[in-house]
Amino acid sequence: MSGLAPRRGRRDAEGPRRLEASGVVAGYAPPQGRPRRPAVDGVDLLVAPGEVVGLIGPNGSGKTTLLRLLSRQLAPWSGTVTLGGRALETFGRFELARHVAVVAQEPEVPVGFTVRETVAMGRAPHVGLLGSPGPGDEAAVDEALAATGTLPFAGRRIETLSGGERQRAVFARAVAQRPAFLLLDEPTNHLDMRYQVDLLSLARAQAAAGVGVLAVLHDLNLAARACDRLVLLSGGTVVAEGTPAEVLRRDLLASTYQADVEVLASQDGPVIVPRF
Amino acid sequence: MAAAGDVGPERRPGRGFLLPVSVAALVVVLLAAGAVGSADIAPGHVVAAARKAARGEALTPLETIAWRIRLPRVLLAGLTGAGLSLAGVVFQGVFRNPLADPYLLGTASGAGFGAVLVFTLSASVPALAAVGAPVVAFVFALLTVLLVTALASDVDGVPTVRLILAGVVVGAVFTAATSFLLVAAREQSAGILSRLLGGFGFASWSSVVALAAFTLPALLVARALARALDLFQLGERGAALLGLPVEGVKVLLLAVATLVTAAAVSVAGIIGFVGLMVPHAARLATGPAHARLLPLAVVWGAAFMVLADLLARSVIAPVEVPVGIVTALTGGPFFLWLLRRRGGAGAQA
Amino acid sequence: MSSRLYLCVAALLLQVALAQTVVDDLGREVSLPAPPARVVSMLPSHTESVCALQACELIVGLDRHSDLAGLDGLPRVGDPYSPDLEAVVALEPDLVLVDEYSGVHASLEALGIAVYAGSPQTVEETYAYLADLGRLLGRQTEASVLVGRLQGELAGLDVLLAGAERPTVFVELDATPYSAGPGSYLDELLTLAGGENIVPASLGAFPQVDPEFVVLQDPDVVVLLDAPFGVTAAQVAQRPGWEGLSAVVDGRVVELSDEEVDALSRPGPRLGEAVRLLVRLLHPGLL
Repeated sequence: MSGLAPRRGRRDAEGPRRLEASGVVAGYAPPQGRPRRPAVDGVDLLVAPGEVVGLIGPNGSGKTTLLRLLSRQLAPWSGTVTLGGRALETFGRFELARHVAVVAQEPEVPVGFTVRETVAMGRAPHVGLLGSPGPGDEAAVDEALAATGTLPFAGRRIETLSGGERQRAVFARAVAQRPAFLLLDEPTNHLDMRYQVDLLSLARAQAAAGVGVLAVLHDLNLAARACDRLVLLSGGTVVAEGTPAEVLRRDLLASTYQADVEVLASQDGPVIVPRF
Repeated sequence: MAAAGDVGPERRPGRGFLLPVSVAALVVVLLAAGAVGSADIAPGHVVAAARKAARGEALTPLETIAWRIRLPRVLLAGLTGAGLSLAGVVFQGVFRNPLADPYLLGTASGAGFGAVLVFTLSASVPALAAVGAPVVAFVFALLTVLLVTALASDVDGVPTVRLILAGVVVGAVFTAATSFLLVAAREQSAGILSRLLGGFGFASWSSVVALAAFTLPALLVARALARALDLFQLGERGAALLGLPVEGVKVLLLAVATLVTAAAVSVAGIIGFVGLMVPHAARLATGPAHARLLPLAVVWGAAFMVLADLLARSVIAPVEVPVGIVTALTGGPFFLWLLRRRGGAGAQA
Repeated sequence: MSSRLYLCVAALLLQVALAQTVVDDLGREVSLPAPPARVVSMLPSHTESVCALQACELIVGLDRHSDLAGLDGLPRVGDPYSPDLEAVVALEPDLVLVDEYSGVHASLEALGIAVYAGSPQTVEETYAYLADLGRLLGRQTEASVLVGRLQGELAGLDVLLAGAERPTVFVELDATPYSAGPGSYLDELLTLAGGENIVPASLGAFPQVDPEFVVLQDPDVVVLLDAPFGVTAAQVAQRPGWEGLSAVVDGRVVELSDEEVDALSRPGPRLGEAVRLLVRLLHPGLL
């Protein structure tokens, strides 16, 4: 198990430069007697360092499945997922976690642990199963706390935080992993506006620092403002890909979401307004 | 909003002293328990007895009591308390459930059935008597866990919820079978029930060594995997995303905890509450991080059990109260207190 | 007629009237219009006592533990804790003999059946019980003879034991270990047999004892009433610290048979037999 050997230090300059899915077809086990239907049906997707890619589409379009494929929580039926050109299956568990961090939709709250202790858990891929954290790991934790503005409540027990503060702490844990790629699964659901902006700003900051960020988002307006590139999924295939202005078009959205919208132009990008 | 003054990682000052102080307290408790009983014995006598025994000399009755009966008994109680507390911490950590205790997977029910089988059939099946209750109990405890694991197994591992359900079901079946045996052997039932409820009455050096052989390695393994146990608190998915080989670690931890529990129950009977209470108490004192929690829970568990046994044999000496009754009587009020405290401070996630 | 004749007739009538009324261990008055012709016994000691009073032929039903020879063919009615009430009713008994602890008397009363609820726990109670049973069954003479014989046996043994040493004894009822202390029938038998129970009165009649205590007291004799359950002298010798017991070293750890345990546990007409059994164990060669 290659994951047992601890590796410390900053992200390699030679770290993986591409997280890529090619022609992936995947899905879940069907109920008894029913045929297999793929949730993702032939998708190509590339995430590069330094950009924020937004994955949007209606429920059931395959967004979460695609994220799971990219983080090896699910194996494809056909097609490949590669990290830095290497197939995902060839990575050890800890090794993969050193390069790819995931912020789940509603992460479990480790009751009783402080924020600092929770963020420190993000160093696990570097410390390994039987190792102990070293000064490099302490430094990574401090940096992650500072970068996410969670230092003021680092000593508080995590269950005493508000939802938004807690999500920031979870984000800090992913940052502490020092991954090359950060995958966010609808991280802003249930959050107040302030914290939604908060979190996506943190994501943009990570991208600016060189991390490749993929975010599955429900809110099209947030997606428009936070992402450099959007990928619109429908029924398991990519319907459109490009800048927010290119993808967020009335005709595309109407046919994909089966709802009529108005697209208004503004200084910061398109504004989507549903029509009744 | 962050409260002012919440900077810094330390939660409570002086936490570092807790373990050494607890160990010192344990030593005192061991000495005290060794001294009190049907006959009061000074520690000096114990040492003298040990020397004589080493030289193979005959011992006076007092020395026999000190060396052959009292000391093994106290040590066995300590090891049992340590083992059950350890198993409790591991079970609560793996299942992320504050109500988990070492008997969750049916171990106690299986062991109890094995023991009662020997007690009731000794007369008609001499082979059973020759093998002895502890061994048969242990075998049944392991069979029970294997059965539970097999029932709960899935293609990609052993789902936690199914494990718990299977444990409850299998446990219930064995408990019913045990009750049936008890009713059928009514003349012996008072004695059998007493023994099931736990006791260290016939502790011997061989049982101490046997239990130590299970408990000490378990301690080492659990301590080595302390950080993994912390990671489990992120949920199995969260831990897996950080690279932890969840299924493998889960099976290893549960196996180790189960072996310790099976060994303890086989030797000492079904002693409740220790595996449930002590982890909670230790967690309240030192926090949930397992690197600190495990050693403290183990030391407190040992001390608690030695005290409980002391109480069991001295409160109406020389009549003995089954130890399981003492732990249950102290467990109830403790839980009440714990509930009231927790209820105010915020619910479990 | 003279007043003396009236007095005699009155006394006779009173005697007859009182003949079938006794008070059982629950304080209930049990009175029968006439001596019973059909009796069901639900305790082995009741069965043995009825037969000892030459009234065996009255028994029409037995509990499942009664094992007196010659009565094997009779219908069984369960035991006081799980009685077969229908079977009892089907036998149409005039009297049912039960114990005072199980509460089965209430069920039988509700069915309109005459019940005697009790069992002797001491030697004195045994004599009184046999007398009462004699009155109920119309076997007063046999009862007097039996009681007289038992008292005679015990008196004789008492004389024999005068001046003999009293060995200390540990009676083990169960491997936990449970013992019998003062207040129990077994303890009384032990004293009558010239033995001394190591369990003091403060521990009660059926204490669970700390094994250390037995080692400390170092009894001369250990009597295993749990031998029928598989406990052997060899096992006892292997208990930590017990290998040095005088009883173990001298080979005086006695395994009792099923029969012997029954005799010691069923207060009743086997009283004499029980004490003699203990005397033989405690004072070898005396009898």
